[in-house]
Amino acid sequence: MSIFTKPRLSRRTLLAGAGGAAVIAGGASLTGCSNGSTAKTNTVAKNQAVKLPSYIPFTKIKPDLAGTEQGVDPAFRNWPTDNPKSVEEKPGTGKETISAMANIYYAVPPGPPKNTFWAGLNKRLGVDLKLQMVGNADYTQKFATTIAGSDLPDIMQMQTVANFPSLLDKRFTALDEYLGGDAVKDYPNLANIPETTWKSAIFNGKIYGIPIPRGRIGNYNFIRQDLFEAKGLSIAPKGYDELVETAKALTDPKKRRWAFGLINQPRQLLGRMNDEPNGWRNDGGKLTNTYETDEYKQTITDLIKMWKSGVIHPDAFDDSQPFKQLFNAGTVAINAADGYPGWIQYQQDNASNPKFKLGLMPAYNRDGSELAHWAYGTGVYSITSIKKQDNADHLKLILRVLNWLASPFGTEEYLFRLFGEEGTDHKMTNGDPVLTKTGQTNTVIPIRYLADAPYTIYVPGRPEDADTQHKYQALEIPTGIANPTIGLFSNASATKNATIDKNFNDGINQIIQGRKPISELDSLLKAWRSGGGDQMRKEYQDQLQKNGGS
Amino acid sequence: MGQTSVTRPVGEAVTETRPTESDDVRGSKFTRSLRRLSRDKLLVGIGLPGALVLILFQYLPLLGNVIAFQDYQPYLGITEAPFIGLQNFSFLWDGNPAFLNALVNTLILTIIQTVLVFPVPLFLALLLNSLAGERLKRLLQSILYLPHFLSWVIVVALFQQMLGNAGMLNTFLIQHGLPQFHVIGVPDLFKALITTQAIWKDAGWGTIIFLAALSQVDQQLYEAAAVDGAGPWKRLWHVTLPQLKGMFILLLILRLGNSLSVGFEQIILQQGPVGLEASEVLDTWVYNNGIIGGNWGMSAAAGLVKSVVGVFLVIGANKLAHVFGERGVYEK
Amino acid sequence: MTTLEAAEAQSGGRRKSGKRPPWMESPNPLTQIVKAIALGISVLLVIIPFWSVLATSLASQQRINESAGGMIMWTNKPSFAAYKAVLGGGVVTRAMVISILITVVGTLLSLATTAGLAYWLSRKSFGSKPVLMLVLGAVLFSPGLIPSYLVVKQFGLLDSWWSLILPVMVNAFNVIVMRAFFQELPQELFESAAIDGASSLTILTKIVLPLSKAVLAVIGLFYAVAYWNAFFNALLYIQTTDKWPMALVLRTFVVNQTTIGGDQIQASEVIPPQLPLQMAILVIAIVPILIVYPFLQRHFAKGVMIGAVKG
Repeated sequence: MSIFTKPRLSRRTLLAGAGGAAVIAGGASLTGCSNGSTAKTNTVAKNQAVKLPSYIPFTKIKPDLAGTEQGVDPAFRNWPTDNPKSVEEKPGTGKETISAMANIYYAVPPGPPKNTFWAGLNKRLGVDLKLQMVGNADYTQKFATTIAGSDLPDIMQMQTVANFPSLLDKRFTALDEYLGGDAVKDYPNLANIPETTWKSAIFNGKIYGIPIPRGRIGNYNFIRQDLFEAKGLSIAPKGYDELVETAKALTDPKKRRWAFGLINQPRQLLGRMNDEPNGWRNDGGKLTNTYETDEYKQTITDLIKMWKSGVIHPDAFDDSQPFKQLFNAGTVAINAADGYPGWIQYQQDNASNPKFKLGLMPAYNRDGSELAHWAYGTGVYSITSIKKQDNADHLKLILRVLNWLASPFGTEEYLFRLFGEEGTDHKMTNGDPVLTKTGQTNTVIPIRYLADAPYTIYVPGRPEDADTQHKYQALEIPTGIANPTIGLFSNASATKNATIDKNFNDGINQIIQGRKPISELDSLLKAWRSGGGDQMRKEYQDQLQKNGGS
Repeated sequence: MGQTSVTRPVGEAVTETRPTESDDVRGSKFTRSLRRLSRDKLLVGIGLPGALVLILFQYLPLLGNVIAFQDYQPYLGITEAPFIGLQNFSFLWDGNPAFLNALVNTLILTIIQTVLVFPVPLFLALLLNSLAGERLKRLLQSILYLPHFLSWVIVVALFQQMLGNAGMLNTFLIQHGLPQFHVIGVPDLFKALITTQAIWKDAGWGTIIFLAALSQVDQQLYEAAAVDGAGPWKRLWHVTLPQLKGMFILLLILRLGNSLSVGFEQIILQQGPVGLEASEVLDTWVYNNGIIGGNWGMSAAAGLVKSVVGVFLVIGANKLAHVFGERGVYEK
Repeated sequence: MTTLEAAEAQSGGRRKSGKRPPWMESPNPLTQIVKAIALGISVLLVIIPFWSVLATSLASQQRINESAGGMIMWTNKPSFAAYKAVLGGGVVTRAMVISILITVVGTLLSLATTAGLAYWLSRKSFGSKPVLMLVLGAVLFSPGLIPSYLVVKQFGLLDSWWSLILPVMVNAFNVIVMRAFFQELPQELFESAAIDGASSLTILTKIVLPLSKAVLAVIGLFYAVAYWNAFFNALLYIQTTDKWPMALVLRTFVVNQTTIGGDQIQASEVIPPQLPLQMAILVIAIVPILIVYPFLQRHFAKGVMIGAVKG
């Protein structure tokens, strides 16, 4: 906004990076929603009693490296030679239209018919899919205005907002009749989604959407293995002292090299090392937030020392720091706690750099004696809800379309929805599909945020990556601890957490940079608690107690 | 600006030379108004389309500001949301230290901007105007206005790249063993940084209006002054500046109307490294404490407060302008 | 010759370029030097970063890696990969055409309505005072996001390009500025025109507008730039991506590529590196303005002789 020319409404300007993945937890809120109509209906008792869709895993294609029930993803080294169909009949007849809205992480593609992929998709689905794409950073604003405008698309990627259960109740359809228990057998690909994942879609005692599954591992500690090896460093530093030594060895400001990029990354890494809980610690029904623990204080003390020693990039506190680019350039050697689907992108970005070697660093405890407890991810990216409607046939059509879109890895439908038409959108190179330039542009339609199959490790053209990732997951998953509030909903969290978290972390950042003493932590905690932390705790605890401890 | 030979106060209508309607006091006020309307109907007709569009698309949505008095959620209609009176305005009297800090930062920044940043385009315009070569003048102006087209995301990134702690300048200094030049991420320098960025980005663009005003100046005035023996500085003082006075004051008054908005996008992008205490202003405070929690009511309330304050400032500034014999934004 | 015709003739008057008028002294060398330094520094401060933008847009990933992931000042091997990526898909070029149309139509409509309104308000006339207050109010009070959306929806403008023009067609600030310019025009012109029996419309078109080339150029520029850069309304109101204007398309390139994305990426042929991509987009967005601007500039950078009035 310029002060010289016309003044503009500042709240309407948007920022890069202000958005982010919309992750939701389903569940109950007992304390007063301001529109308390669903306070009585959205209780744990009700949500526990709901019949989750039966889990009938898809077994026609066997992975090279099997997944585990605990949460290791299955892995494929190569694209399977057999690509069976998973959907027998076309979902639509070619005459219907379905509207949808989802966020997109890429440059927008053209629409059909120029976009032959989209046109082909419509043909295979037998519907005219009108998908509104909204840039990820702008999704919050668009979501709010669409809800306010009361003209909802058929299918919507949801975002947790205040009074979420009320919103679902008023504007969206409950799907128990169609998906609960064995009813889900009509939609075999949706039955392929594990039970725990469905928990995130349960509100008001009903199933309100389809969850988009993600692996339990959540993120990886990426490292530039080539930089480690060049200095003769072990890629698995055992313990705090060795980590610090490694970081120092990787740092050389004269050559513009640092060990760590964004401040949150060493924070997560040290958090594992110092045995912090995952989000909250549950002691027989009593919850303590990570921020309140002694372990967290230790982490901050460590960070103060680390910052002073200079192993962290000077712009680490800048949220818009292009840390991925810095990693690609070798400016930072460790990208800890970075979303694990990023593996493929890093390999892609650096394909032209022969020296680049992507590695994964395990997290050890402080004295290096054993692995630290891994912090499980939420297991869900978002849920997709269907707008309230009376037309049962239309609803079933939508579910059939979503079923098609959830086709498992290796099936004919999966090949198409990720890679498009052979020849135009992708070419088979050594048996693996590789996107062409056209495919690159056209296949980015965000249908994978409407429905998707559980995550599978597969890096085309790099079979060894499947082994690396699977090994890492197999190593870390058994050590993992979950966030006890997953599957629970707190209205205080939806309305207040963003603010108190921002204020708290702002204070922490001042402490780390040495502008305030560590004793400041106490007043920060006090503000956090009174600003909403205590309320969140109470709401979550009430639900856990009803549940009889978890 | 304006001709020094103006003999009549500005703003009076063409109808001066015709028998004025005000002489005709027949009929009620209403019929007199109707007569004026009929007399001016062409004029009104010319201006009406613009007024209508403005009313429809700016004033109609303003009714939605009733959200400020409601506990509003998007899935409830405006008519359904419960009325909660002045609760959304409570941040004004809660005594919240973060809010008060944001208020202070806002006021300091607005004063700095009004005093330091606002006049820069004027000086720049005078500087450019004093060049004799047209081509040079135009070329320079074209270069200087370029930063205006960059979004703040890019401007902040550029500053980071050039002046950041790992940026081009500092890397050069580190590599040659020289002391580093830290401006980014230093809380005490934040306001200076913001001000510098604002000048860099928009000073060139701001010269456009002033150059346009200067282009309206009658060259014969300069000639007459030169003939009277006035040198370049005297001419600047007695001919050029008075021409720009009106526009400058107009822009200043309008600027005051928005004085509580000091650059939301620019600041929110750079809060991380320096911390909220040094960087929080009203708009970012409302964002951090309201909008990210989905508190639409509070955000609307804050907007209303800013606007109302702006109204008082504009009225006050306009009256002050009148005292000094200036026209201001609107006349009495 | 009536005064009207005289005014018309004069509005074409120009100061001779490059030559010093006879009454101006030769410049003081010291002043020259100071001016040159001041301007020189200002210009350098702008050119250096822009040069870097241009250079970075032509960089290869390798070059970016060499500079620690940051911007560069020079590259020996310029690569057009970023430009090809942005312009190759056809989406950007199509969106550019859309933006050009919206900008041209919008600017013309805006100028017409704004000038009309400003003219009305600059005369003492029925309704001019209250409507002026209304316009001033519009500068001070801005409507919220959701109410604006609901109004546009109510008028049935969703997914239509008119939703990108009508809500912003009249900018209150511009109206006030234009009004101020109109008020500065010499009153004698209006009086003589009235004596000659001219109607308001004739006065507007034959006297006011020809003498207001400068302000029309300036306000026209302001509107044009606003239309060209506008993405937010398109984000809210345009649902079909094929109808998106260029600013929004480019925004998704820039903004999304920098978020914590990489979610769901598949193997493909090489994508151009992110930083050059962002810089290329910047350059592409600015170029049309750079082309158009000089044509407008001549109307407000030069002096205009209005001497005939006094003669």
